[in-house]
Amino acid sequence: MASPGLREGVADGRLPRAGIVAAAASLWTMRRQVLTYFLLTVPLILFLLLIVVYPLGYAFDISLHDVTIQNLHGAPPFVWFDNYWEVLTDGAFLDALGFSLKFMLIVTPIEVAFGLGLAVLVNSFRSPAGRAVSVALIMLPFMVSPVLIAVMYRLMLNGFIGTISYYLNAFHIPISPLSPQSVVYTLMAIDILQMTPFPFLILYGGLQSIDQQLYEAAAIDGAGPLTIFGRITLPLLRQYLIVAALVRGLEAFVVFEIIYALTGGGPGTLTTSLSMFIYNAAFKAGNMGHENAASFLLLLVLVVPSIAAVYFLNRNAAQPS
Amino acid sequence: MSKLVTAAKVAVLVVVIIAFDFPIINAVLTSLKSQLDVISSPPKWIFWPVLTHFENLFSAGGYDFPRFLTTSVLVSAGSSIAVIVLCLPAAYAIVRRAPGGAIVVLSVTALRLVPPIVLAVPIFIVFGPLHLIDTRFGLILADTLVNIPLTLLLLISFVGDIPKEFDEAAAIDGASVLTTLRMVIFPLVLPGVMTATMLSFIISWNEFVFALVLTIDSATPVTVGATLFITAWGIRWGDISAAIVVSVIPTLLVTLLGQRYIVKGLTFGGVKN
Repeated sequence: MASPGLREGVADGRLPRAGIVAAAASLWTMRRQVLTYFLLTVPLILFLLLIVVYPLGYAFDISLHDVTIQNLHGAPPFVWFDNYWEVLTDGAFLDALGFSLKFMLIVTPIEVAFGLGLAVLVNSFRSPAGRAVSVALIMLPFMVSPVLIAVMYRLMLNGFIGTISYYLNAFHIPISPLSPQSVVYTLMAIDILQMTPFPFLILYGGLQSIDQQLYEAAAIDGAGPLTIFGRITLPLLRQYLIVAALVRGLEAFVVFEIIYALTGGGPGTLTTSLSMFIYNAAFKAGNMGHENAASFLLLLVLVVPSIAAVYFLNRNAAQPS
Repeated sequence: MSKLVTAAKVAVLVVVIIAFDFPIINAVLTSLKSQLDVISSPPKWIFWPVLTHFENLFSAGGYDFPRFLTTSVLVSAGSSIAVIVLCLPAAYAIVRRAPGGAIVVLSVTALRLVPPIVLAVPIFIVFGPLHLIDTRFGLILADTLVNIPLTLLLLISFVGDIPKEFDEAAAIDGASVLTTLRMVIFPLVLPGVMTATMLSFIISWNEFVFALVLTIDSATPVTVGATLFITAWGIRWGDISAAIVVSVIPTLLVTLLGQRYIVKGLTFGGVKN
C-alpha cells in the first residue's frame, strides 16, 4: 500500500523530508504487518515441528540402528541400512505389501462404481426431503468409527449366535466368512459396505454441480439415457471420480482398523496389511529398527500417488467458484 | 411404467441402506435384548426390550466404560478446540500472504496423506521420556495433529472468501491485525469454524490408531475400549452392543444436527462448493 504521505510530499516538492519520514513509517507499518502475519503462523509451525518433524527425524535415526523396544532410549549400535535390507528380504513385508495392493485394487473401483450408481439413483429422486433422508441414511455408517463397525461384524459373523452366520446356514450357503479361504473377501466386503458413502458423497456433490440445462438440451436432441450418462455425466464427473478414487485408494492401501478388530492380521499373516505389519513389528516383535525401516519404505511407496493426490486436491481447493 | 420404475428405485435404495446400516441396526437390537434373546437361534427380530445391558455398562465391574466415555468426550472436545486455535490465525495469515505460507500449505497437504501408523509409533517413542503416554493430554496432542490438515485447508478456503476490503476498513479504524482477526474475520468465518469443529470432533471421536498406540488403560477412549470388551467380556455381546450404541450416539447426533456442514467438510477438496 503506497503511503499517501509519500505521494503528496514528492508531488509538492515542498516536503521531501516529511515524505521520506512518512515513507519510512509506512514501510515500518508494512514490515510490522508482514511480521504479525508470520507470527500468526508460528504456533502451527512449531506444533508441526515438534510433533511431526522431530518424531519422524528420530524415527529415521532409529531405522539406521539396531533398536528393540527394550534399548529404545539407550545406545543401540549403528547398522547403516541393514534394517531396510532385512525388512525387504524377509518376505513378510513383501507379503503385506502384496495384501495392501490387492485390497486397494479390488476395493477402490468397486466402491467408486457403487458410489456412482447410488449417487445417480438418489439424484434421480424429485423430492428434496426424500433425497436429504437418503443421504443421511447412506452416510450414517461412514460416520461411525470403523473399529466399532468391525466389532459389530465380529458379533454378526460369530459362528454360534451371529445373525449373518445363522442365515448363511439357514439358506445352505456354503460360505464360512472367517475361514482362511474367504476371510480376505469378508474384510473387503466390510470395507465396501462402510466406505462406499465417501465416493457417494463426493459424486453426489459432483452431480448436483452439473447444469440441468445440458440434460434438457440432450433430451430435446433425442439422446437416450445411456448416451446422456456416457457423454454428459461421466465426462463432467471426471475430476470427482479421480479425487474419490485417490482418497479411497490411499486409505484402502493402509487399512488397519477392521483387520485389527476382526482378524488381527491372521490366520498366520494371511490378512496382514502394511499398517498391520508395522504395528506388529513395533509391538509384537518389539523391533523398532525394523518397524521404522518398514514405515519409511511405506512412505517411499506412497510418494508418487501422494504427489498426484496433492496435485488434484489442491487444484480443486484452489478454485472456489 | 414410470411409477413402477420409481418403486423399483426405492426398493433398491432401501436394500442398500439396510445393508449399509445393518451393523448399527443389529447393535441397537442386540443391546435391547435380554441375555436369553441374545443367544437365541434363530435370531429374534421381535422381543420384549430390556435395559439391563445399559445398566451393566455403568454399574457392573470389569472394564470401566464410564471412564472411556469421559476420555472420549474430553479428548474430542479438547482437540477440536485446539485445532481451531492453531489453524484459524494461521489460515488468516496464509490468505493474507504471510511469508512461508505456501510451504505450510504444501506440507500440511502432504501430511494429510501420511498413514496414521507411520506417525503414531514415532510419536509413541518421543512421548515416552516426556511421560505423555497413556495421558489424555498426549492423546489431545495426537488428535489435534490428525485434524490439522482438513481444518487448515477448510479454514483457508473460508477466509479466502472474505474480501480484503474488510481488513482495510478495520485498519483505517485503527484495528491491529489481531483485533481484525478477532472482531472482523472470526464472526464472518463462524460457519467455517463450526464445520471444522464438528468434523474434528467426529474424527477425534472415531480415531483409533493413535489411541491404540498411545494409551494403555488410564486414557483409553471408547474406540479402543470396544476392542478390549471382546476379550474381557467374552460372550457378553449384549453389554458390548450397548457400549457400541452409547459410543455411536455422540457422532450420530453431531452428524444429524450439522449434516449440511459436515457433508460440505467431508467432500472438501473433491467438490467445489
